[in-house]
Amino acid sequence: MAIKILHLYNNLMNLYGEYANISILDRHIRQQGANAEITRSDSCNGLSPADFDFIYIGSGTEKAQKRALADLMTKRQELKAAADNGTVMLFTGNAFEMLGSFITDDSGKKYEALSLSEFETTESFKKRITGDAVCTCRFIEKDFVGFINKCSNTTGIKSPLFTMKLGYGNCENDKGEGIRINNVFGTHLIGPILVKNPHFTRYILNLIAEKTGEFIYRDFVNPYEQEAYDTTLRELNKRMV
Amino acid sequence: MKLFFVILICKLLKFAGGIIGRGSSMPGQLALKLYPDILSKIKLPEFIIAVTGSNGKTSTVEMTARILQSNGKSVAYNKEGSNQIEGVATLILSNCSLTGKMKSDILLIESDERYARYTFNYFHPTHYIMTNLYRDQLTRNGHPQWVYEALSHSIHDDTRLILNADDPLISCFGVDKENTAWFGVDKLASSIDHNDGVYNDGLYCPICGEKMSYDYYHYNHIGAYCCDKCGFKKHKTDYTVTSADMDKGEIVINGKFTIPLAFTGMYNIYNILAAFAACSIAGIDGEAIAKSIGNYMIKNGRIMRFRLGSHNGTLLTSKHENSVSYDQSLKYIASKAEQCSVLIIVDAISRKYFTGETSWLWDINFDHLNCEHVKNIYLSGTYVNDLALRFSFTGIPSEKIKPVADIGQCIDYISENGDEKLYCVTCFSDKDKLLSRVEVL
Repeated sequence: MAIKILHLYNNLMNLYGEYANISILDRHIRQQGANAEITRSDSCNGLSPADFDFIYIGSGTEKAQKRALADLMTKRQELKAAADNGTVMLFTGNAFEMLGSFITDDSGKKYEALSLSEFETTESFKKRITGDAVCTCRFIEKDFVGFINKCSNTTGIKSPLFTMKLGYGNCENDKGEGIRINNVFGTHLIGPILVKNPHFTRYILNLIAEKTGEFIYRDFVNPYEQEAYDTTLRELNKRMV
Repeated sequence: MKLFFVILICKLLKFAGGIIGRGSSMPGQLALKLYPDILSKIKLPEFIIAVTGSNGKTSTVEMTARILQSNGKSVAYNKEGSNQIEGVATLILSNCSLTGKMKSDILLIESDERYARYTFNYFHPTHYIMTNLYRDQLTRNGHPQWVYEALSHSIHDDTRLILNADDPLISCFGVDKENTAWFGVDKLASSIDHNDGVYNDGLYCPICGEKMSYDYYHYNHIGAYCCDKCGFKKHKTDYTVTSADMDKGEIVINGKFTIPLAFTGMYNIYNILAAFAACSIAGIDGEAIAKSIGNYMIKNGRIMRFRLGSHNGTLLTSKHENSVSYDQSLKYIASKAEQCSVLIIVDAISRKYFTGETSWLWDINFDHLNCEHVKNIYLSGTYVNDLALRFSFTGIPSEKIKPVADIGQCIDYISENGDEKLYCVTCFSDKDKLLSRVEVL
């Protein structure tokens, strides 16, 4: 049996090299002695969330996010059931916003979202919020590195995924960033965050291993992965002194 | 009277700055502080040509200036790096009389995409060239659609647009603007039937969001697109590269003007074409344009020849955080049959600000270098491990990939080994780390 991976909106929501999250996961799963079967689609039409062991959505433009959301809402109940059932999912960039109850756009139009958790997001086209990020996570020892690139504030998250040491959190003056709902991870960090944070890849692999029983996780580190992370963390730490 | 003094101060500062080598934004910055709407008080020339877009601004401006000047026009234009309102203010005020009248026939302005709306708040260009919109410096720019929105506020009704018809997002600016001039490249031998980038920014229609189809691509999402749903498609062009012979190194514009190329990269062709369009509109004869731009090598240091040990080298300055720029350099290398090695340096991601963001490396199609004539690929600089990791996901044989973190050591190694042609692909922020260690020709 293969680990079944679904990369949703792989074109529509792929602004910052997000596809590489799937590339690195695929490589690691093979190195664990298992196989990954990857489905990529810009629509969830004909797909059932329950059929997958890992579901990923990356960042898109504000417009693309609304299109993706409209499509994703057709599978709302099934996604909720999969999340309750412990399916591992990762929503990065503004895909994270889709996990909440509502997204309000710059014109004030309100879009109903997946409601996996009761939080809300409001966009504003006045200002782009961009910056390097370093954050800590309660259940993973190592710091996370990445980049925030958004135009929104998210409120109503009591127990965030990260605490920011550097960079913008869920909303202004909030050090909390992202959310974890069961095995669903949402964060506004953009791009290939699994490439940038090898410890997070290991954590996700562990969860997939436990959930599927397809392999017993053993530590495996590829050349350059750790060194690239160390470099970025070192460079960002210099900025925090 | 105030105008007189502020212009005088600006000129004096510009002069003093010239002596001590300071940047050219500061005098304008001070002038704007003293007199915020000073730019609306200046008597500007009849022709005000602005150039904006992700890539090709500086080169297009430089070529346009060259053509105009060699055809007897006096041109005031800003040099690279001073393309925000302060730099434009310096340009205008240091080129006008103390009574506030510009002396040049033509004012030619390179304008930053995100700040154009502030600059053109005070005066409107008569002509506005828009080259392209790519994923460029997204750590500041957000994404291309975001830049599009910002740019849309810089366009006024009394400005005539000169647009790249081959770029779908840029072309949206010309929808319902009837006096727009369009430039583009017809299908060439080098055109391809698929998007050869890692991602596809031409997949969905920027107007209605449905899928687009392409007759052909020149590179990435640049080509002849068509939306079957809403009918949005590549506009008929007024200034057109109708044929090109890359082996011979020449292009033909509008079926009759042959221009020999000093550099056959596709982006150079677009820059020449944009300059051709602007100069034609400014009244220069096509034959005269072809004569003054033929075989012209841009002097802005983007392409430089050098010697290192027994290697003949070419620096292809590319932009970090800009995958299309990289892709173009890599495709250029792939298009040459000669045996070569390639050095890629990613050390400081930007020269203007700090970021440790490397996602853009994953948007570059490094597989363009997966060809027989590329012997070695040297990787160097602070982000050598990110580069090496990225290359481990290409189909390029791993024995060709040689990461050496230290730039000096890497260059010494290359110097002592081999005599094949060497290309260096890196950014403005890092190119001096190469140039200071080689013999520039």
